[in-house]
Amino acid sequence: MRTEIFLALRHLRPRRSAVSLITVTSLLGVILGVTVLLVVLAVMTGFTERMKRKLVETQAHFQIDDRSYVIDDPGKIVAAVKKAGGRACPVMQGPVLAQIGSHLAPGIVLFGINSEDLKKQFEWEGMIREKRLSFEGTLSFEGKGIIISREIASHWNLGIGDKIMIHSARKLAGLVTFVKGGGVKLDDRASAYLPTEFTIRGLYEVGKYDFDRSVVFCDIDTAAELFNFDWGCASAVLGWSADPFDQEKLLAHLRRELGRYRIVSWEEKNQQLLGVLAVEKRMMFFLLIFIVLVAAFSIANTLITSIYQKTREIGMLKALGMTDRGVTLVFVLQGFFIGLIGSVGGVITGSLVIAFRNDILKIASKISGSELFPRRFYYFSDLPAMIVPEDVIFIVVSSVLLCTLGALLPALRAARMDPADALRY
Amino acid sequence: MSEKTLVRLQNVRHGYAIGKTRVEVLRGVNFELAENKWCCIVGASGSGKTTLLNLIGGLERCDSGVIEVGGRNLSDMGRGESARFRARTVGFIFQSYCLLPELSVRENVMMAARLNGAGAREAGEKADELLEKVGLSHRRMHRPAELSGGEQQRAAVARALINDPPLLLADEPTGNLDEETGAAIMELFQSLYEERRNSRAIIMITHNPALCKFADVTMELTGGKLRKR
Repeated sequence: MRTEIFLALRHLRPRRSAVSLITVTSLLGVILGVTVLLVVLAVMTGFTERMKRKLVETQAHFQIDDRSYVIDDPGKIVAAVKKAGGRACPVMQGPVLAQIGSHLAPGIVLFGINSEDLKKQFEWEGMIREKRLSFEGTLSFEGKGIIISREIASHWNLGIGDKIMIHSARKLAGLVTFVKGGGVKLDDRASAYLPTEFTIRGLYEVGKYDFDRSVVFCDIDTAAELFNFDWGCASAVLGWSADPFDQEKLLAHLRRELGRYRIVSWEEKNQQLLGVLAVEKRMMFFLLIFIVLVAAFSIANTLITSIYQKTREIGMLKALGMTDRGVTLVFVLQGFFIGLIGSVGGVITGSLVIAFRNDILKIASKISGSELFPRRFYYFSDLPAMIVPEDVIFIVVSSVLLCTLGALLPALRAARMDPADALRY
Repeated sequence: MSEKTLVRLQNVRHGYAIGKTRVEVLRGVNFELAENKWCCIVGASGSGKTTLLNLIGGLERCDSGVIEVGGRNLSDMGRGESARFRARTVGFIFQSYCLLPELSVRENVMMAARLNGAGAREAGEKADELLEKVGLSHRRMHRPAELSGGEQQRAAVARALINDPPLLLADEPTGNLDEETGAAIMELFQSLYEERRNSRAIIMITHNPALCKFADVTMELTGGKLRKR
């Protein structure tokens, strides 16, 4: 085996001081393939992880609600969550229509919450202090106060102290009743309907575009009134666990304790998004492994050429007593070494690209004259990336395997050569 | 003292297919060589000398007949066994030297020993000793391309001898060399042969009748048969 390894390495480096051009081109193919694979998968993983972090930062770790939409006594649920080791607060949330002057802003979600809960349970106080959340104004809903995002504020040219009117879809829907036999009837109160006017108390920026674009906060009782519920009610209880990535035990306990309520974890709530990201990553790997496959074909191609060139040498090795297995090994090992060295090179190059990804992105954006990673489509201002050791191992093993398999066919051809025919070549 | 037969060929027939035509090169060759004899085979180009040498060396399998080397029938051997037989029993010297260009002279010589199962250290020591004998120790780290034809052939001789094989097969060993260098190679060949006069046989094929003076017996391959000359 040592002789075969020695010969394989010598074939890759036929001159004393230089690596053969054939080896270099084969290596470059593998390096390129592995680099692209590593960078894309790292960005996909980074994107998914950042997305998860943002999700747990901007959303509760789990939500408890009642199938009838309203929870009459949310205090009981909050106490149960606290007893189980989590923390919780009631909220009244629902879709609303914002009116700014004569303009209407659809797609707004109103979060009614106690301002103390916003500070403590949502951890906004800490997040503002640690600069994880950009905020100006006061975390208070006093005097029908509302907190909106900078995104909404800048879109509608609003500032602290400005007024904004909120229409509740639920309240509006309640003004219309369907009559038997078709048709609708307006409630007597319809003529007296007025939207609720709020004063902007604060502007926030979470940094997650879809959240910033749609969510506004007000006091929970004001929201209950707006949605036509009694004070003290909640549409849901939001909960937080010590570790949002390992909360199954807590949720199982709560499901047993609060049987009639529905408990949805942040992962279940976002399963479609997380599922799409996981599928995308697998698809990316599947598509990009073709680059390595092409490199493996290039190795097969160069080895076939090399075997033609070395026909007499193969004959000589066989004359000296090298077995068919030995000859196969010499050439298969060449593919293996190209795969291994190329993969290691690809991992190094890929790691460098990942380390300088944002600088590269800036340069590329400057050259192309357009933003390559627009914040309005993605949730982040920089390109996230995360190298997972399992991914690196998977990429390296797949690449080495493909390159070795690429070398197998020419190697078997070399092994089948008749020594006398090879020497006559 | 009776001489033991090392090589025995009995009614060996062999041919090649050229297109649809079958060309019979060897038509019933009978031959015996004792373990301490030097045999020179001469013959015209295309008479089948190299084919005969390849058959004796286990590089090819004959169509019919029996080839025995050291009492073993080569036709009964599988490919792996045949390879091991070549490593242990035969030393090849070719007209075109056939050194591996990626390896140094020393590594080329060592390669034959390594393929016969010797460790790197043992093979290295043996190679150094032989390169000293063939006068190439100062060139041992050079690559074949950096050597003259004579030097390359001397390296090939060292390689053929490293496993101390009982049978040396030389195919036109001086064919690519000028007269003076050829003569020097033959002298080297003879001196190495004399060192193991009683336990090594040589079969050398050549165009040059002058080289037959070194041999104990000269045969001529003509019409597909081997005749004593």
